[in-house]
Amino acid sequence: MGHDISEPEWLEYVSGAPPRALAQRIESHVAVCPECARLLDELANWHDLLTREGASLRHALQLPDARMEEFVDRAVERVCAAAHPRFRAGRGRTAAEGLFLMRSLLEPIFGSGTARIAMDLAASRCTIHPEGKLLGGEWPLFVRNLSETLASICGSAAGRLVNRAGTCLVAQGA
Amino acid sequence: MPCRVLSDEQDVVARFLSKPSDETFHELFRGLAPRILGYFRARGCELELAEDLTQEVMLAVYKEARSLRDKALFRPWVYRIARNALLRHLRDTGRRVETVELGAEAEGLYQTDSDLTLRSQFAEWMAWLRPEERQIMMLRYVDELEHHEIAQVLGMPLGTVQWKIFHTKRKLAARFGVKTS
Repeated sequence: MGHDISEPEWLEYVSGAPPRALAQRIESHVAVCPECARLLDELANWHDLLTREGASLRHALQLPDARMEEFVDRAVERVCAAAHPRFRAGRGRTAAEGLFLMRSLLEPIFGSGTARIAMDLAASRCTIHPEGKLLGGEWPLFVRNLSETLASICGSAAGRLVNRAGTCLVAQGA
Repeated sequence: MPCRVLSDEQDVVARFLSKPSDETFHELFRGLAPRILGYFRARGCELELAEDLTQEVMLAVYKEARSLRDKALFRPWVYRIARNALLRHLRDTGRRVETVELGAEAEGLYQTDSDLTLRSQFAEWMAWLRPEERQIMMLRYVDELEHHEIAQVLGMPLGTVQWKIFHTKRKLAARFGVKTS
């Protein structure tokens, strides 16, 4: 663009937040240059029109709040589940996943033999189904059994650890 | 001011990027999903498809945000993911994609006669523009991106984006005249 004002400078001016020096330069120029005054009118006019109609289109495409809330909740759950494909969020986790996680916690602390035997003993005293849900299933009974078993072998701190881990697996995501 | 990034939106993004978790992601999703959903709907996607694509975009955000080197580029990064998702969808569904990639996105704008976009004054103006002009103006005035963000989304120099916006406005003025608001 001629007249010492570049395209980015015109855009910056009509967008409404030009630096003071630029604003003064443009304003003093258009005061004496009818051609640039017309250009400024044209650009400012179309900036306003596009802003208004763009906002109008955006508004028309918006979902009602309740519909958007529903979509967000549903989508977040799906995205998180897809991002952690191995384990679903706590409340939907299966007993098999809970058992795997519990064993992963206990083995490094108590040794694989002790952890396995304790878990087998605890499982033999309830009817836990691998595909059953942790929430609402036999999981709490299994955790109590495991807690008592490990407490009798390794002390009360081990029992408390199992109780906490069992509760966390139900309440939290992986 | 059409292109201001709301400070609470920036806060939500900063919280997610500094501590990515299900909780901060939920907050981010709540703020960002309407914009991304609007991005797809403004380009002619039916609601169900727009929701699926938005979900796809947000999954990519959830998985890849840690790899984002410049956190200030979060918004253009998200829109680039959205744009790629739309282009991929157009290709996968066998719709014609113009040789110039930029045209593909714009083509989606008018895919359904019943779409809301067709009834708007904005769409009438956009229909008259070339695809690359149209997509720049939509990113600027519907999606409210800054010039430098549009440059990032489209992989164009900033000067080119500004030049195109300037001349597209002049072109619209020449075709439709100067109107009173």
